[in-house]
Amino acid sequence: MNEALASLFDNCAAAPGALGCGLRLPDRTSRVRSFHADCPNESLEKMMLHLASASALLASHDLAGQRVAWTFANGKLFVTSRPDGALFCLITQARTDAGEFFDRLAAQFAVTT
Amino acid sequence: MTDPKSQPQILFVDDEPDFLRVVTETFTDLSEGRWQMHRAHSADAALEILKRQKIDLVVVDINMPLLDGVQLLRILNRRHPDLKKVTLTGFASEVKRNECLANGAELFIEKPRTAQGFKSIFLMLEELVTWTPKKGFQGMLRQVGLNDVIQMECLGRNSSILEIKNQRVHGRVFIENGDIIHATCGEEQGERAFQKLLSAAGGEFKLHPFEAPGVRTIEGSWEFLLMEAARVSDELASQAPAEAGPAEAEIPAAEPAAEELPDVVVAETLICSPKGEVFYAASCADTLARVALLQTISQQAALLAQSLPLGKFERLEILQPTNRVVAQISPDHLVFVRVASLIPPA
Repeated sequence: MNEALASLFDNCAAAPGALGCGLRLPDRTSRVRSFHADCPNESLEKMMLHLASASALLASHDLAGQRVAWTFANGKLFVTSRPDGALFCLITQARTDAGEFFDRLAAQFAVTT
Repeated sequence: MTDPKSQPQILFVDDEPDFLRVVTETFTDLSEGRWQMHRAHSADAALEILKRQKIDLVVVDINMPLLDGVQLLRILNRRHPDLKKVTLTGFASEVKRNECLANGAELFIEKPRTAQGFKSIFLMLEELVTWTPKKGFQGMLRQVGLNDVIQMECLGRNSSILEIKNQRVHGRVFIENGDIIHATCGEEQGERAFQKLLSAAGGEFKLHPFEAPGVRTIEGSWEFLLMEAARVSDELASQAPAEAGPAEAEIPAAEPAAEELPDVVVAETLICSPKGEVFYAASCADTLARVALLQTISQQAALLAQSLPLGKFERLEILQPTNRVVAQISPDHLVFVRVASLIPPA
Protein backbone atom coordinates (compact mmCIF):
# COMPACT_ATOMS: atom_id res chain seq x y z
CA MET A 1 0.00 0.00 0.00
CA ASN A 2 1.42 3.40 -0.91
CA GLU A 3 1.85 6.21 1.57
CA ALA A 4 -1.24 8.14 0.51
CA LEU A 5 -3.55 5.14 0.94
CA ALA A 6 -1.91 4.23 4.24
CA SER A 7 -2.57 7.79 5.43
CA LEU A 8 -6.24 7.49 4.37
CA PHE A 9 -6.60 4.26 6.33
CA ASP A 10 -4.87 5.80 9.36
CA ASN A 11 -7.37 8.64 9.28
CA CYS A 12 -10.27 6.14 9.12
CA ALA A 13 -9.28 4.80 12.52
CA ALA A 14 -10.23 8.15 14.07
CA ALA A 15 -13.80 8.09 12.68
CA PRO A 16 -16.54 7.93 15.34
CA GLY A 17 -17.39 4.26 15.96
CA ALA A 18 -14.99 3.03 13.24
CA LEU A 19 -15.10 -0.75 12.74
CA GLY A 20 -13.12 -1.07 9.53
CA CYS A 21 -12.44 0.38 6.11
CA GLY A 22 -11.70 -0.78 2.61
CA LEU A 23 -10.63 0.28 -0.85
CA ARG A 24 -11.36 -1.33 -4.18
CA LEU A 25 -8.95 -0.14 -6.82
CA PRO A 26 -9.60 0.20 -10.55
CA ASP A 27 -7.61 -3.02 -11.14
CA ARG A 28 -10.26 -4.76 -8.98
CA THR A 29 -7.85 -5.50 -6.15
CA SER A 30 -8.87 -4.61 -2.61
CA ARG A 31 -7.16 -3.21 0.45
CA VAL A 32 -8.87 -3.44 3.81
CA ARG A 33 -8.13 -2.64 7.44
CA SER A 34 -10.02 -3.86 10.48
CA PHE A 35 -10.46 -1.82 13.66
CA HIS A 36 -12.66 -4.33 15.47
CA ALA A 37 -12.63 -8.09 16.04
CA ASP A 38 -16.15 -8.38 14.61
CA CYS A 39 -14.85 -7.16 11.24
CA PRO A 40 -11.98 -9.45 10.25
CA ASN A 41 -10.08 -8.72 7.06
CA GLU A 42 -11.53 -11.73 5.21
CA SER A 43 -15.07 -10.45 5.86
CA LEU A 44 -14.09 -6.96 4.78
CA GLU A 45 -12.64 -8.32 1.52
CA LYS A 46 -15.92 -10.10 0.82
CA MET A 47 -17.88 -6.99 1.70
CA MET A 48 -15.84 -4.92 -0.77
CA LEU A 49 -16.76 -7.38 -3.49
CA HIS A 50 -20.47 -7.01 -2.77
CA LEU A 51 -20.14 -3.24 -2.48
CA ALA A 52 -18.51 -3.12 -5.90
CA SER A 53 -21.46 -4.87 -7.51
CA ALA A 54 -23.96 -2.76 -5.51
CA SER A 55 -22.18 0.44 -6.60
CA ALA A 56 -22.25 -0.67 -10.24
CA LEU A 57 -25.97 -1.32 -9.88
CA LEU A 58 -26.62 2.15 -8.44
CA ALA A 59 -24.46 3.78 -11.12
CA SER A 60 -26.52 2.04 -13.81
CA HIS A 61 -29.57 3.84 -12.35
CA ASP A 62 -27.71 7.19 -12.23
CA LEU A 63 -27.61 6.84 -8.45
CA ALA A 64 -23.89 6.87 -7.78
CA GLY A 65 -23.41 9.38 -5.01
CA GLN A 66 -20.77 11.46 -3.35
CA ARG A 67 -21.91 9.66 -0.21
CA VAL A 68 -23.85 6.41 -0.17
CA ALA A 69 -24.81 5.11 3.28
CA TRP A 70 -26.10 1.60 3.92
CA THR A 71 -27.68 1.57 7.39
CA PHE A 72 -28.15 -1.69 9.25
CA ALA A 73 -29.26 -2.32 12.84
CA ASN A 74 -25.66 -2.87 14.01
CA GLY A 75 -23.54 -0.99 11.54
CA LYS A 76 -23.36 1.61 8.84
CA LEU A 77 -21.37 1.49 5.59
CA PHE A 78 -20.36 4.80 4.03
CA VAL A 79 -19.27 4.43 0.42
CA THR A 80 -17.95 6.76 -2.25
CA SER A 81 -16.61 6.06 -5.71
CA ARG A 82 -14.35 7.78 -8.23
CA PRO A 83 -14.82 8.07 -11.99
CA ASP A 84 -11.93 5.61 -12.49
CA GLY A 85 -13.97 2.93 -10.70
CA ALA A 86 -12.11 3.07 -7.39
CA LEU A 87 -14.30 2.59 -4.33
CA PHE A 88 -13.76 3.60 -0.72
CA CYS A 89 -15.78 2.37 2.25
CA LEU A 90 -15.86 3.13 5.97
CA ILE A 91 -17.75 0.87 8.36
CA THR A 92 -18.95 2.35 11.64
CA GLN A 93 -21.24 1.40 14.46
CA ALA A 94 -24.87 2.15 13.63
CA ARG A 95 -25.65 4.74 16.27
CA THR A 96 -22.72 7.03 15.61
CA ASP A 97 -22.84 9.95 13.22
CA ALA A 98 -19.74 9.73 11.08
CA GLY A 99 -21.25 11.32 7.98
CA GLU A 100 -19.29 14.55 8.07
CA PHE A 101 -16.11 12.73 9.04
CA PHE A 102 -16.59 10.42 6.07
CA ASP A 103 -17.08 13.39 3.75
CA ARG A 104 -13.61 14.61 4.70
CA LEU A 105 -12.16 11.15 4.08
CA ALA A 106 -14.00 10.99 0.75
CA ALA A 107 -12.44 14.30 -0.25
CA GLN A 108 -9.01 12.86 0.58
CA PHE A 109 -9.84 9.67 -1.36
CA ALA A 110 -10.89 11.69 -4.41
CA VAL A 111 -7.38 13.06 -4.85
CA THR A 112 -5.42 10.00 -3.66
CA THR A 113 -3.59 8.01 -6.33
CA MET B 1 -56.51 11.03 -27.21
CA THR B 2 -57.44 11.94 -23.60
CA ASP B 3 -61.12 11.68 -22.76
CA PRO B 4 -62.17 15.23 -21.68
CA LYS B 5 -64.57 13.74 -19.11
CA SER B 6 -61.70 12.07 -17.25
CA GLN B 7 -59.44 15.13 -17.40
CA PRO B 8 -59.03 17.14 -14.20
CA GLN B 9 -60.85 20.45 -14.65
CA ILE B 10 -58.78 23.29 -13.21
CA LEU B 11 -60.01 26.85 -12.93
CA PHE B 12 -57.57 29.73 -12.47
CA VAL B 13 -58.96 33.04 -11.25
CA ASP B 14 -56.68 36.08 -11.60
CA ASP B 15 -57.14 39.64 -12.76
CA GLU B 16 -53.69 39.71 -14.40
CA PRO B 17 -54.24 38.47 -17.98
CA ASP B 18 -50.51 37.88 -18.60
CA PHE B 19 -50.08 35.73 -15.52
CA LEU B 20 -53.28 33.85 -16.32
CA ARG B 21 -52.03 33.11 -19.83
CA VAL B 22 -48.58 32.01 -18.65
CA VAL B 23 -49.86 29.82 -15.82
CA THR B 24 -52.46 28.04 -17.93
CA GLU B 25 -50.04 27.46 -20.82
CA THR B 26 -47.28 26.25 -18.49
CA PHE B 27 -49.53 23.87 -16.57
CA THR B 28 -51.06 22.56 -19.79
CA ASP B 29 -47.51 21.73 -20.93
CA LEU B 30 -46.45 20.26 -17.58
CA SER B 31 -49.56 18.09 -17.45
CA GLU B 32 -48.90 17.05 -21.06
CA GLY B 33 -52.42 18.05 -21.91
CA ARG B 34 -54.01 16.00 -19.13
CA TRP B 35 -55.38 19.06 -17.33
CA GLN B 36 -58.32 20.90 -18.83
CA MET B 37 -57.65 24.54 -17.99
CA HIS B 38 -60.26 27.26 -17.48
CA ARG B 39 -59.53 30.95 -16.94
CA ALA B 40 -61.52 33.65 -15.20
CA HIS B 41 -60.40 37.30 -14.95
CA SER B 42 -62.68 38.07 -12.00
CA ALA B 43 -64.59 36.45 -9.17
CA ASP B 44 -67.86 37.01 -11.09
CA ALA B 45 -66.51 35.27 -14.17
CA ALA B 46 -65.33 32.37 -11.98
CA LEU B 47 -68.78 31.95 -10.45
CA GLU B 48 -70.33 31.96 -13.94
CA ILE B 49 -67.96 29.19 -15.08
CA LEU B 50 -68.76 27.16 -11.97
CA LYS B 51 -72.48 27.36 -12.80
CA ARG B 52 -72.06 25.60 -16.14
CA GLN B 53 -68.88 23.51 -15.73
CA LYS B 54 -67.88 20.87 -13.20
CA ILE B 55 -64.54 22.00 -11.75
CA ASP B 56 -62.21 19.82 -9.66
CA LEU B 57 -59.83 22.48 -8.40
CA VAL B 58 -59.96 26.24 -8.32
CA VAL B 59 -56.85 28.36 -7.89
CA VAL B 60 -57.70 31.87 -6.75
CA ASP B 61 -55.57 35.01 -6.73
CA ILE B 62 -55.99 36.87 -3.45
CA ASN B 63 -55.59 40.42 -4.68
CA MET B 64 -58.37 41.19 -7.12
CA PRO B 65 -60.49 44.32 -7.47
CA LEU B 66 -64.14 44.38 -6.35
CA LEU B 67 -64.64 40.87 -5.01
CA ASP B 68 -61.23 39.75 -3.76
CA GLY B 69 -59.91 36.20 -3.35
CA VAL B 70 -60.91 35.81 0.28
CA GLN B 71 -64.46 36.95 -0.43
CA LEU B 72 -64.62 34.55 -3.37
CA LEU B 73 -63.37 31.73 -1.12
CA ARG B 74 -66.20 32.42 1.33
CA ILE B 75 -68.76 32.17 -1.46
CA LEU B 76 -67.17 29.03 -2.90
CA ASN B 77 -67.07 27.43 0.52
CA ARG B 78 -70.79 28.04 0.90
CA ARG B 79 -71.93 27.17 -2.63
CA HIS B 80 -69.38 24.47 -3.51
CA PRO B 81 -68.17 22.93 -0.23
CA ASP B 82 -66.62 19.90 -1.97
CA LEU B 83 -64.59 21.96 -4.42
CA LYS B 84 -60.85 21.90 -3.77
CA LYS B 85 -59.57 25.42 -3.34
CA VAL B 86 -56.05 26.87 -3.47
CA THR B 87 -55.04 30.48 -3.07
CA LEU B 88 -52.18 32.05 -4.96
CA THR B 89 -50.66 35.39 -4.09
CA GLY B 90 -47.75 37.61 -4.99
CA PHE B 91 -47.72 39.14 -1.51
CA ALA B 92 -47.96 36.45 1.15
CA SER B 93 -48.71 37.45 4.71
CA GLU B 94 -49.64 35.41 7.77
CA VAL B 95 -52.87 37.36 8.22
CA LYS B 96 -53.99 36.58 4.66
CA ARG B 97 -52.89 32.99 4.94
CA ASN B 98 -54.85 32.44 8.14
CA GLU B 99 -57.86 34.13 6.58
CA CYS B 100 -57.67 31.83 3.53
CA LEU B 101 -57.25 28.66 5.57
CA ALA B 102 -60.17 29.66 7.77
CA ASN B 103 -62.28 30.10 4.63
CA GLY B 104 -61.69 26.65 3.22
CA ALA B 105 -58.46 26.97 1.19
CA GLU B 106 -56.53 23.73 1.09
CA LEU B 107 -53.27 25.50 0.26
CA PHE B 108 -51.90 29.02 0.35
CA ILE B 109 -49.11 29.40 -2.20
CA GLU B 110 -46.86 32.23 -3.33
CA LYS B 111 -46.92 32.96 -7.04
CA PRO B 112 -44.02 31.28 -8.82
CA ARG B 113 -41.30 33.40 -10.39
CA THR B 114 -39.12 30.74 -11.99
CA ALA B 115 -39.65 27.69 -14.17
CA GLN B 116 -38.76 25.48 -11.20
CA GLY B 117 -41.28 27.37 -9.09
CA PHE B 118 -44.02 26.63 -11.64
CA LYS B 119 -43.00 22.98 -11.64
CA SER B 120 -43.09 22.74 -7.84
CA ILE B 121 -46.56 24.24 -7.73
CA PHE B 122 -47.72 22.01 -10.55
CA LEU B 123 -46.59 18.94 -8.57
CA MET B 124 -48.40 20.18 -5.46
CA LEU B 125 -51.61 20.86 -7.38
CA GLU B 126 -51.41 17.54 -9.16
CA GLU B 127 -51.18 15.78 -5.80
CA LEU B 128 -54.15 17.76 -4.55
CA VAL B 129 -56.33 17.22 -7.59
CA THR B 130 -55.84 13.45 -7.51
CA TRP B 131 -56.78 13.13 -3.86
CA THR B 132 -60.16 11.59 -3.19
CA PRO B 133 -62.25 13.48 -0.65
CA LYS B 134 -63.31 11.41 2.32
CA LYS B 135 -66.91 11.50 3.41
CA GLY B 136 -67.56 12.74 6.91
CA PHE B 137 -64.55 15.02 6.88
CA GLN B 138 -66.51 18.21 6.41
CA GLY B 139 -64.66 21.12 7.94
CA MET B 140 -61.47 19.13 7.93
CA LEU B 141 -58.67 18.76 5.47
CA ARG B 142 -59.81 16.26 2.88
CA GLN B 143 -56.55 14.52 2.23
CA VAL B 144 -55.83 10.82 2.39
CA GLY B 145 -52.70 10.81 4.50
CA LEU B 146 -51.17 12.73 7.33
CA ASN B 147 -47.73 12.52 5.71
CA ASP B 148 -49.18 14.06 2.56
CA VAL B 149 -50.63 16.99 4.48
CA ILE B 150 -47.37 17.67 6.29
CA GLN B 151 -45.45 17.35 3.04
CA MET B 152 -47.76 19.81 1.31
CA GLU B 153 -47.45 22.32 4.12
CA CYS B 154 -43.66 22.04 4.15
CA LEU B 155 -43.29 22.17 0.36
CA GLY B 156 -45.51 25.22 0.29
CA ARG B 157 -43.33 26.81 3.00
CA ASN B 158 -46.50 27.39 4.96
CA SER B 159 -47.11 28.12 8.62
CA SER B 160 -49.87 26.20 10.33
CA ILE B 161 -50.82 23.99 13.23
CA LEU B 162 -51.94 20.48 12.43
CA GLU B 163 -54.14 18.92 15.08
CA ILE B 164 -54.20 15.12 15.12
CA LYS B 165 -56.68 13.13 17.13
CA ASN B 166 -57.72 9.52 17.47
CA GLN B 167 -58.72 7.22 20.34
CA ARG B 168 -55.13 6.83 21.48
CA VAL B 169 -53.33 10.10 20.78
CA HIS B 170 -54.13 13.76 20.62
CA GLY B 171 -51.51 16.29 19.68
CA ARG B 172 -50.40 19.12 17.47
CA VAL B 173 -47.62 19.68 14.94
CA PHE B 174 -46.40 23.25 14.49
CA ILE B 175 -45.11 24.13 11.01
CA GLU B 176 -43.52 27.53 10.49
CA ASN B 177 -42.47 28.65 7.00
CA GLY B 178 -42.25 25.03 5.89
CA ASP B 179 -40.19 23.87 8.87
CA ILE B 180 -41.56 21.50 11.50
CA ILE B 181 -40.59 23.35 14.67
CA HIS B 182 -42.60 21.81 17.48
CA ALA B 183 -44.92 18.93 18.29
CA THR B 184 -46.93 17.91 21.31
CA CYS B 185 -48.61 14.61 22.08
CA GLY B 186 -50.06 14.33 25.56
CA GLU B 187 -47.18 15.27 27.84
CA GLU B 188 -44.55 14.48 25.22
CA GLN B 189 -42.87 17.19 23.15
CA GLY B 190 -40.45 17.35 20.24
CA GLU B 191 -39.47 14.56 17.88
CA ARG B 192 -40.81 11.80 20.12
CA ALA B 193 -44.21 13.47 20.13
CA PHE B 194 -44.02 13.92 16.35
CA GLN B 195 -43.16 10.25 15.87
CA LYS B 196 -46.01 9.16 18.15
CA LEU B 197 -48.48 11.26 16.22
CA LEU B 198 -47.33 9.86 12.90
CA SER B 199 -47.40 6.32 14.27
CA ALA B 200 -51.06 6.70 15.13
CA ALA B 201 -53.10 4.69 12.70
CA GLY B 202 -56.32 6.34 11.59
CA GLY B 203 -58.02 9.28 13.20
CA GLU B 204 -58.72 12.80 12.19
CA PHE B 205 -56.59 15.80 11.47
CA LYS B 206 -57.41 19.42 11.14
CA LEU B 207 -55.38 22.40 9.93
CA HIS B 208 -55.41 25.54 12.07
CA PRO B 209 -53.88 28.97 11.48
CA PHE B 210 -50.37 29.23 12.87
CA GLU B 211 -49.69 30.57 16.35
CA ALA B 212 -46.13 30.63 17.68
CA PRO B 213 -45.71 27.77 20.19
CA GLY B 214 -43.36 29.75 22.47
CA VAL B 215 -40.81 26.97 22.35
CA ARG B 216 -38.97 25.21 19.52
CA THR B 217 -38.37 21.53 20.19
CA ILE B 218 -37.65 20.24 16.68
CA GLU B 219 -34.75 21.02 14.37
CA GLY B 220 -33.72 19.42 11.11
CA SER B 221 -35.29 18.97 7.71
CA TRP B 222 -38.90 17.86 7.37
CA GLU B 223 -37.94 15.15 4.84
CA PHE B 224 -35.67 13.56 7.41
CA LEU B 225 -38.30 13.87 10.14
CA LEU B 226 -40.91 12.17 7.97
CA MET B 227 -38.52 9.41 6.97
CA GLU B 228 -37.46 8.94 10.58
CA ALA B 229 -41.08 8.86 11.72
CA ALA B 230 -41.81 6.26 9.04
CA ARG B 231 -38.86 4.21 10.24
CA VAL B 232 -39.96 4.43 13.88
CA SER B 233 -43.51 3.59 12.89
CA ASP B 234 -42.24 0.49 11.08
CA GLU B 235 -40.16 -0.53 14.08
CA LEU B 236 -43.05 -0.05 16.46
CA ALA B 237 -45.34 -2.04 14.22
CA SER B 238 -42.88 -4.94 14.19
CA GLN B 239 -41.81 -4.69 17.87
CA ALA B 240 -44.91 -3.70 19.82
CA PRO B 241 -46.83 -6.57 21.43
CA ALA B 242 -50.20 -7.28 19.86
CA GLU B 243 -52.15 -5.89 22.82
CA ALA B 244 -50.20 -2.63 23.00
CA GLY B 245 -50.85 -0.03 20.34
CA PRO B 246 -48.06 1.99 18.76
CA ALA B 247 -48.71 4.97 21.01
CA GLU B 248 -47.83 3.04 24.18
CA ALA B 249 -44.66 1.50 22.79
CA GLU B 250 -41.26 2.94 23.55
CA ILE B 251 -40.06 5.34 20.88
CA PRO B 252 -36.39 4.86 20.00
CA ALA B 253 -34.25 7.98 20.21
CA ALA B 254 -34.02 9.76 16.90
CA GLU B 255 -30.74 10.01 15.07
CA PRO B 256 -29.18 13.43 14.66
CA ALA B 257 -30.91 15.51 12.05
CA ALA B 258 -29.60 15.28 8.51
CA GLU B 259 -28.14 18.29 6.78
CA GLU B 260 -30.66 20.92 5.78
CA LEU B 261 -31.42 20.95 2.09
CA PRO B 262 -32.52 24.40 0.96
CA ASP B 263 -35.48 24.77 -1.40
CA VAL B 264 -36.14 21.12 -2.00
CA VAL B 265 -39.00 19.26 -3.59
CA VAL B 266 -39.98 15.59 -3.38
CA ALA B 267 -39.21 14.63 -6.96
CA GLU B 268 -40.09 10.95 -6.94
CA THR B 269 -41.86 8.51 -4.63
CA LEU B 270 -42.54 4.81 -4.92
CA ILE B 271 -43.97 2.34 -2.41
CA CYS B 272 -44.30 -1.30 -3.38
CA SER B 273 -44.51 -4.75 -1.85
CA PRO B 274 -41.41 -6.97 -1.72
CA LYS B 275 -42.94 -8.90 -4.62
CA GLY B 276 -43.17 -5.73 -6.70
CA GLU B 277 -46.84 -4.84 -6.36
CA VAL B 278 -46.97 -1.04 -6.57
CA PHE B 279 -48.94 0.57 -3.74
CA TYR B 280 -48.14 4.17 -4.62
CA ALA B 281 -46.04 5.90 -7.24
CA ALA B 282 -45.58 9.59 -7.91
CA SER B 283 -43.42 11.15 -10.62
CA CYS B 284 -41.59 7.88 -11.35
CA ALA B 285 -40.37 8.02 -14.95
CA ASP B 286 -39.99 4.23 -15.01
CA THR B 287 -41.90 2.52 -12.21
CA LEU B 288 -40.87 -1.01 -13.18
CA ALA B 289 -37.19 -0.04 -13.18
CA ARG B 290 -37.54 1.53 -9.74
CA VAL B 291 -39.31 -1.55 -8.38
CA ALA B 292 -36.52 -3.75 -9.78
CA LEU B 293 -33.93 -1.43 -8.24
CA LEU B 294 -35.56 -1.65 -4.79
CA GLN B 295 -35.70 -5.42 -5.00
CA THR B 296 -32.04 -5.58 -6.02
CA ILE B 297 -31.03 -3.19 -3.21
CA SER B 298 -32.79 -5.54 -0.81
CA GLN B 299 -30.81 -8.50 -2.22
CA GLN B 300 -27.51 -6.57 -2.14
CA ALA B 301 -28.16 -5.57 1.47
CA ALA B 302 -28.74 -9.22 2.35
CA LEU B 303 -25.38 -10.11 0.76
CA LEU B 304 -23.62 -7.35 2.70
CA ALA B 305 -25.22 -8.56 5.92
CA GLN B 306 -23.84 -12.04 5.18
CA SER B 307 -20.30 -10.63 4.98
CA LEU B 308 -20.36 -8.81 8.31
CA PRO B 309 -22.50 -9.02 11.48
CA LEU B 310 -24.46 -5.92 10.51
CA GLY B 311 -27.94 -7.08 11.54
CA LYS B 312 -31.19 -6.11 9.87
CA PHE B 313 -30.97 -3.74 6.91
CA GLU B 314 -32.81 -0.47 7.47
CA ARG B 315 -32.20 1.93 4.64
CA LEU B 316 -29.93 3.20 1.90
CA GLU B 317 -29.24 6.91 1.56
CA ILE B 318 -27.58 8.44 -1.47
CA LEU B 319 -26.36 11.99 -1.44
CA GLN B 320 -25.81 13.58 -4.86
CA PRO B 321 -25.07 17.22 -5.72
CA THR B 322 -28.75 17.96 -6.40
CA ASN B 323 -30.56 14.88 -5.11
CA ARG B 324 -30.99 12.95 -1.93
CA VAL B 325 -32.37 9.46 -2.27
CA VAL B 326 -33.66 7.21 0.48
CA ALA B 327 -34.55 3.57 -0.12
CA GLN B 328 -36.16 1.87 2.84
CA ILE B 329 -36.65 -1.88 2.96
CA SER B 330 -39.20 -3.39 5.34
CA PRO B 331 -40.59 -6.94 5.42
CA ASP B 332 -43.92 -5.79 4.01
CA HIS B 333 -43.04 -2.83 1.83
CA LEU B 334 -40.21 -1.10 -0.02
CA VAL B 335 -40.00 2.69 -0.26
CA PHE B 336 -38.05 4.89 -2.67
CA VAL B 337 -38.03 8.67 -2.20
CA ARG B 338 -35.95 11.15 -4.19
CA VAL B 339 -35.75 14.71 -2.94
CA ALA B 340 -34.31 17.24 -5.36
CA SER B 341 -32.72 20.54 -4.48
CA LEU B 342 -34.05 23.43 -6.53
CA ILE B 343 -30.83 25.35 -6.07
CA PRO B 344 -28.04 24.36 -8.47
CA PRO B 345 -24.83 23.13 -6.82
CA ALA B 346 -22.14 25.75 -6.24
